[in-house]
Amino acid sequence: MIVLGIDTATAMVSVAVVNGTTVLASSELRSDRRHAEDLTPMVDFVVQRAGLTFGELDAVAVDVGPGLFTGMRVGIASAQALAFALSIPLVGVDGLEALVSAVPAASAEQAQIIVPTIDARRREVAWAMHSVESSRFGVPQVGRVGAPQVGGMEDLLAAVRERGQHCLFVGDFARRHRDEIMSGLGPDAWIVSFGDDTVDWPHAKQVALIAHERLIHDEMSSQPVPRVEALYLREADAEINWATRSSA
Amino acid sequence: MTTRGSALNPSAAASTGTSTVDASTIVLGIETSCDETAAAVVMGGTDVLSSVVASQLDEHARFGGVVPEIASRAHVEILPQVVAESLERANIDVSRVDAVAATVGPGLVGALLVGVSAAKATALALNVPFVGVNHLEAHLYAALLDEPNARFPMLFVLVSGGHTLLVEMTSHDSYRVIGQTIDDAAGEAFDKVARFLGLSYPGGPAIDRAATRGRDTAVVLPRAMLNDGLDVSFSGLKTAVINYVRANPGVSSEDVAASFQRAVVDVLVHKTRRAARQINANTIALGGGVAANSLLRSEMTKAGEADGISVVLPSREMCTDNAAMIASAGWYRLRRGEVTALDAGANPNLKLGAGQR
Ligand SMILES: [Zn+2]
Repeated sequence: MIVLGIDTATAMVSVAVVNGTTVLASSELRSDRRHAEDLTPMVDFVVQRAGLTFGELDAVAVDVGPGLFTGMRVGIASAQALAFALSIPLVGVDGLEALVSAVPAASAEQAQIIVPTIDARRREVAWAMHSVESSRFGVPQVGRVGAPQVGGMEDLLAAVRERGQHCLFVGDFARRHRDEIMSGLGPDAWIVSFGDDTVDWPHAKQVALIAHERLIHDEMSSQPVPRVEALYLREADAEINWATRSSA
Repeated sequence: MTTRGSALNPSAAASTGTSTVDASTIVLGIETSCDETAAAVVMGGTDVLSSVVASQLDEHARFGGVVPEIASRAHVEILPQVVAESLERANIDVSRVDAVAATVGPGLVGALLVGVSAAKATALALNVPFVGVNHLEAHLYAALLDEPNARFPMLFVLVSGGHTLLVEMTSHDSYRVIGQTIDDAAGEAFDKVARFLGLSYPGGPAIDRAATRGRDTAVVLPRAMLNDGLDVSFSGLKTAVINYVRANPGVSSEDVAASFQRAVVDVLVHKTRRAARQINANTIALGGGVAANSLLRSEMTKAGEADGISVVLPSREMCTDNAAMIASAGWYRLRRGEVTALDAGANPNLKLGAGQR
């Protein structure tokens, strides 16, 4: 099954095409405020480099957030349109799950909990708790505990403290705030580690692979009009700004 | 069917220098610049096969105006259904679409990007051209839907919540702004006065309705003619209304609405006639939400008759934001060979007559 993955929920835009568990082509680009400009040509490029035509795609997958609201919507709107125009299924994947799935097994098995982090702007962070259990096949099993959260650094640290286990932080936010996290948790109370720059951002490869897994295991009821929900984790800012009201 | 798609393919068109854009060319239009999520299917530039508009009015009414983040969220949620419905009502499959047009500006940037992203992705998947459309230009094509053969030079009067523009058009791709508001847009003045009078949101239709029960000579209000250039001003009028009502709290809001509306229409009609004379206009075309105002429509028609100039009025549903006008404007651009690259974004401050980017 060939799945096109799209991720524009953070500052790193990525596109990938996977066939089953094999990545056929992928591309990523640091794109702070040009998600819409960059995404469409990237999709075109990656599908071509995979040696495919759009008609050969079996499904579309997209990172639905958390992250940058406008970025998320660029990806979701594009993915919804592609799935509709091609009459193929659409799968939404949350970016924290995509991030945690990129953690190498060797790093995962050192930890008891993995906390993926994504910058939510306004000095806030989105995160989710994942517990790690070693399985008898030697592959660590990572499962989500509770729902994704958004809050300040103190909220994040309180949530980690509550667990008091070997904690692995991943994501660009955690790496940038490494010192703050370390000092906030105290010197000996926790054994804390951080992912490297390969797990800074959720990536379309993971998004497509997770979607593929879901498509072969779940009974995906095919929607006549493909839609996915954005994961904002915050209410819309209802401040009326007449200055930005410029449309005719 | 593939030949039609490839004939319009950007690279094919560029290499041969020709494209087959004609009366059978089907354009899917998408509009998400403000608080209306709209999609439409238009054939040959003027044959509206469907036009679907999902208004978010209820979601913004409690704030008395459009909240950008709420608008963007609603667009991404409902656009797929709106597009699907536009194709269903046009009774065509999406594979029949020959080109996809979307508003690239002006408007709310986050809202615009939803439509632009969806339109570019649809065009890419179908291997057909994408056309970025200027929302202001599209309002003109709403007027021309019923009168595609209206003669140039044309005076295009765009009156909406965000814009008040007098535009000279000598051909389809030649625009010159010759007059505009120096403060509030006409629709903005309607909204503000309606809110002050405690009428419902949006203010335009509310004032229109209230005015039918009032006397337009009841309150004497100023008409800012700005030394008789072509620019207009509504800020002083709005202030005069507020001051009058504060000094005369017992006045009927119907009388105020009628007097205010008459003053706005007087100014607009006066400036329009003056501009039309100046450019020797053969046609006056109206567009924008305020063009749905009953008094403005009847007074403009009368003025045109008196001056021997034909006046083109869009139907009321084509005055307010819709996607049929986007698809139509897109068709005219395509016919001129103007295809937009897939790395296009949105331009929240796009001006009339400016390039697409
Ligand atoms: Zn408009």
